Amino acid sequence: MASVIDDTGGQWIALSGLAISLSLVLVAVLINQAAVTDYYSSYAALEFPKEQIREITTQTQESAKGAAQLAWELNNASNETVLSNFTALLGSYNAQTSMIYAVHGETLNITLVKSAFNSTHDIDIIWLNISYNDGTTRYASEPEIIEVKQ
Amino acid sequence: MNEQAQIHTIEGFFAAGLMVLTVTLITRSSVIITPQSEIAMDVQLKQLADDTLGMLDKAPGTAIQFNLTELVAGWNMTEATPQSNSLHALDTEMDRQLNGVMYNIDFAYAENGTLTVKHAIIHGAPVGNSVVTTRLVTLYNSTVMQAGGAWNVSSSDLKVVEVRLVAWRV
Amino acid sequence: MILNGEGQISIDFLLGISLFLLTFGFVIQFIPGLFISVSGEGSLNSVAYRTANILAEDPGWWENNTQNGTDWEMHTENISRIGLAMDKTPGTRQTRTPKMLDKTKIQQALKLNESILTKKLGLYDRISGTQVDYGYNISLLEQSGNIIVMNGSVVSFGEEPPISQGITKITRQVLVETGNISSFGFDELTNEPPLAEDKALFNISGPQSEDVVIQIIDFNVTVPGAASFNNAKLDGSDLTTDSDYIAYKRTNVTDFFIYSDPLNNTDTLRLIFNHTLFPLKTTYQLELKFTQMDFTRTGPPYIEYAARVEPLYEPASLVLKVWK
Repeated sequence: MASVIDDTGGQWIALSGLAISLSLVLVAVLINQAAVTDYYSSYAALEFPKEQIREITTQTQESAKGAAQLAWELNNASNETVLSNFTALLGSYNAQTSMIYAVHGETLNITLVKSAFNSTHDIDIIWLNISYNDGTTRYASEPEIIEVKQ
Repeated sequence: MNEQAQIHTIEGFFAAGLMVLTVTLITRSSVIITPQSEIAMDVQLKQLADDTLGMLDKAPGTAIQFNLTELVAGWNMTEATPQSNSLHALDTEMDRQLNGVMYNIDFAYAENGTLTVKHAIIHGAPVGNSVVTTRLVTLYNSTVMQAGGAWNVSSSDLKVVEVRLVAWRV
Repeated sequence: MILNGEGQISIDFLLGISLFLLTFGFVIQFIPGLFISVSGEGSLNSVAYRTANILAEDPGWWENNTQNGTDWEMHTENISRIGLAMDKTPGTRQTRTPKMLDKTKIQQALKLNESILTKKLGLYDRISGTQVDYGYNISLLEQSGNIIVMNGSVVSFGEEPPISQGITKITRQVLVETGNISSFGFDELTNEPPLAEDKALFNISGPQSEDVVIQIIDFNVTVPGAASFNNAKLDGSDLTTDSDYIAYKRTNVTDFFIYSDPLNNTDTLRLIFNHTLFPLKTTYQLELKFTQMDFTRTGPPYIEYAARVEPLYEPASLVLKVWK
């Protein structure tokens, strides 16, 4: 048996096997690294609420315009009546959207900063504060200026 | 027997075993890698769903017959069952845009201080990696009247409805 | 033979080495299958995603030392970024209309040369200082799957994708501004006094550089099922379908198809007139002939095509393919 241990002639076969295995592992690790970067970039694309944020601003713009129009139609006796109607409508919009977003674990808050209602109802300008938070991403548009043209 | 003759074969076996072991190990660990391409698929599906809802929402009358607001406003409010969908007009539009993708649509809205969720379109049970995308629609009494829907919106108020689209590939 | 023992060692060595080589060969064969599916296209996913996003949702940007804006189509010398989304306020950095592609931006982008396009879209990689361009193909497809044709040129950028190679593909659903449309309710249409014939007259002022599209909704049919659109005349002479104009009809259940009788109240009629019919700087009079329609208004003045003109958007898909 001693002769078996002493004979080192065949060791290079085992050694090259080891070398190949090691290089394989190395290549795998490197490629894994690249794949993981890709994984994170793809994952980030899913994670970041870009559509959500856009949707909030466009929908709020649109709804504020609609609400301003409705507020004027309901009672256009004076600027004050339009404003009080509009405040009520915006409050209702905020309450409803907040509730809908709260279900997905996101907070959304829309408040009226100031408004300039024109008695002739040509151009009204509304300043709103919008803030959104989904736990990782926070978005705020303060103020969001909305022009309502008749 | 010549004892010396065994030595090279044993080393050959050893080397072979080592390489096979490594390959098996890598194949096993590559389970971590594979979801990457799946996630890329998810990104595409999510984007498709977002695009479709967004497009329906914004499309002017000359591009698409009815936009999302008009379609939602025209809902008769009977909840869909797997056998019958209650909002065919929306179903046809969605089907045209999302060809080859399965989807369900729910509406979520606040009513009497609580959130109500109702099914509008059911095409089956979503699978594991389905995507969800949402879009808000604001309804007024006038829009509902015009579209002939059954929503109960007071003439001095507005109603925010969330359109939830669940989409998946089969 | 018996004295020579060398042969025995040879077999043992052969066995060992062939076992090793066999496994090695197997491993080598295995490697491409192990990695290619993951890394080959994977690394371009983010590039494709980014490019498609910018094209569909961003209006682009240009700047020089003193000015900047999103209207890069007017300042092609100083483009920073190419985006196709429409933007009505080029001074502000964001657009309110993502996913709605602007016609002039698309046409301007088609005029740019390949190297500027590659650079401004960011479709390249920098490997140890040298720029390596990716291959790409960006096309706008109609819902039928054909590439959109805009003023005679197909809306497709880049090269033909290779067949043998792996490509990364991403599809975005967008609305594309393809031309102009004038939409009328039937009640607005003007007839000649004394309302004798069922015809509508339009004034169209030339020259027109784009196809004239007229859309009519809310018809007033006198006998349901018997009403129809007959033909069109320009300045008294008959126009022929296909070469001069195409008529489409949309019912409340189908999309637009080539016109066929009858015309119902809920239908939409869309007529597309070739712009070469209106080459001169004069006012053309277009006459549309119907049967069994109830007109209420008479001219002159006749209704103007230009009075209702607005951009025509069509649902389309933006398909982006990238490869190395």
